[in-house]
Amino acid sequence: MKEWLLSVTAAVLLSVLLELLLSEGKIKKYVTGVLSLVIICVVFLPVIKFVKNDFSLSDMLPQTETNVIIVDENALAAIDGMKKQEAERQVETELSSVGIKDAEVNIYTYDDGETTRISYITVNLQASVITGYEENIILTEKIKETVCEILTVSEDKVIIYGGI
Amino acid sequence: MKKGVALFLLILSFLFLIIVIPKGNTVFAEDTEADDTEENLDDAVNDTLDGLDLTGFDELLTLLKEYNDVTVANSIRTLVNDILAGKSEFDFSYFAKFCTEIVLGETVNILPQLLLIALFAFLYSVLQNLNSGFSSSSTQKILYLACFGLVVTVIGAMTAKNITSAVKTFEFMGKFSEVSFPIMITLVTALGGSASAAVYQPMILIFGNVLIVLIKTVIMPLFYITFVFSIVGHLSENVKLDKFSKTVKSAAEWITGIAFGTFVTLLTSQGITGAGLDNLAIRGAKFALSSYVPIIGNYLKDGFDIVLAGCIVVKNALGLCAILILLFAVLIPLLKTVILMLGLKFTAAVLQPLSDEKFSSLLYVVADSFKILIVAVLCAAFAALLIVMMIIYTCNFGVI
Repeated sequence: MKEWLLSVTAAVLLSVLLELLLSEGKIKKYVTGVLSLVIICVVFLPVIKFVKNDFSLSDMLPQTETNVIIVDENALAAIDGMKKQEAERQVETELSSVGIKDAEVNIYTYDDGETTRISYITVNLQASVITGYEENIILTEKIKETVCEILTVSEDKVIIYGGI
Repeated sequence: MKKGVALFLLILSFLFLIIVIPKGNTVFAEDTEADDTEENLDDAVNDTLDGLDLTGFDELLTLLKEYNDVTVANSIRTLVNDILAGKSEFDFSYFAKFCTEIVLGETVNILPQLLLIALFAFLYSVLQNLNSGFSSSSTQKILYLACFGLVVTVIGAMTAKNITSAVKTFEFMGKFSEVSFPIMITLVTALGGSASAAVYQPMILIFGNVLIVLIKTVIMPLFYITFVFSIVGHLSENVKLDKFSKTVKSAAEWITGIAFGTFVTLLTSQGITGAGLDNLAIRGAKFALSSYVPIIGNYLKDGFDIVLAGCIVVKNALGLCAILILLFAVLIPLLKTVILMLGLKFTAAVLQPLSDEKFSSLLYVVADSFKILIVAVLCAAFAALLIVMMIIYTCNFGVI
């Protein structure tokens, strides 16, 4: 590109110089006409190369790497971890509100290739304290109902252990 | 009688006590739930920011300082925190003041050079009039070439900086596209906007790998051709290249218009559809009775999802940071090029009655060639801004 522009500029400068040097007369007219043709040839040099198949479009265009946009998987994993922790916290808060304090909830997930799904949920009652009117009664059904309602999972995915 | 009076007085005093004694103050318990939610949201925002790799954004800020000598913030984290705290100074009045300073500063910068050009052109006119009766046409041509050379040297010195600045702006936009869009697509994916992310990915790739490359490999060479031919075509009366120059300029404008017009149309139509699909998917999942939640990473049926809200806040804050960075990257070279173009045209207008028509025409045509640069910068900036704003618009669940 740079070379082509320089060659056009050089051709025009040469034409101007010859115009200055040549005296007025018939020869000058012919020389001016020929120089104009030379300038046109220089301007259309890339087209001439293309016709002769010396021109390659891939040489002009830079080689671009067409990559898929890479999402930050570490950030996605961190955010998913935060969501899981929040869901566990919300379940624990809800269990506390129905009289089961300090229950430890853990959510286990798997990736089916398209989305992250819950495989099972564990509720550890070892450290929990049952409060309210129904003390000393392990409210298994109540716990499953609460967990299923919040996380929209089936009851068979809820595993309760550590009950007194 | 006395009993009646006593009873009446008793009732009256009773009524008096009811009316005069002030009502007790109502006592409210302190609302700590709202404070807890706000604190949890702050924690979620900070945790989300900690999980993201923002070094690319810091590099962009460094590049901005290097190219345009403007400091937006010390680091992207500082900028995001300022925006979230509402302490950001970048409002309309700031930008108005900023643009005014750039315009006035650049006008003062180029004024001496424009005066020099006007002086050389006027000098030629004076010398030509003085020597017209005595010198031959060759001498006058040499005189013209000498003055022409001086004018072109000054034009070259003025325009070189602007052309380099425009090239750097396009490189910056390419880097901007590589750095900011993956992070924002990550956040959209984390929010469950899989349809939107799938739509934006190819459009972002087209922007970075096709449009920016088109500008660097096609539009910029066409600009160089227009610029050089505009100058070279005024060297001699027998060598006329102005029609060629105008054709090339027209081709550059058409290519830019068609490429970016098509891109923007596709982006807006697909972006709206994608965002709509994601919104439908989220609403559908809330009422689903299936045994699992078919949304990427979201588990809760109801309730205020603090993490989701934190992601939305971070996505929108980072989007706003990206807009600010892009504005600063584009505004400065754009305004300087516009001032240069207007300055040259004004000088051409002033010189037309005072000097040879060739000088006036030269300045005008050279100034006109800068329209290609201005249009290319505007189109690229608009496309990038549109992508960022559509990503900000996407997946804003619960935001009114």
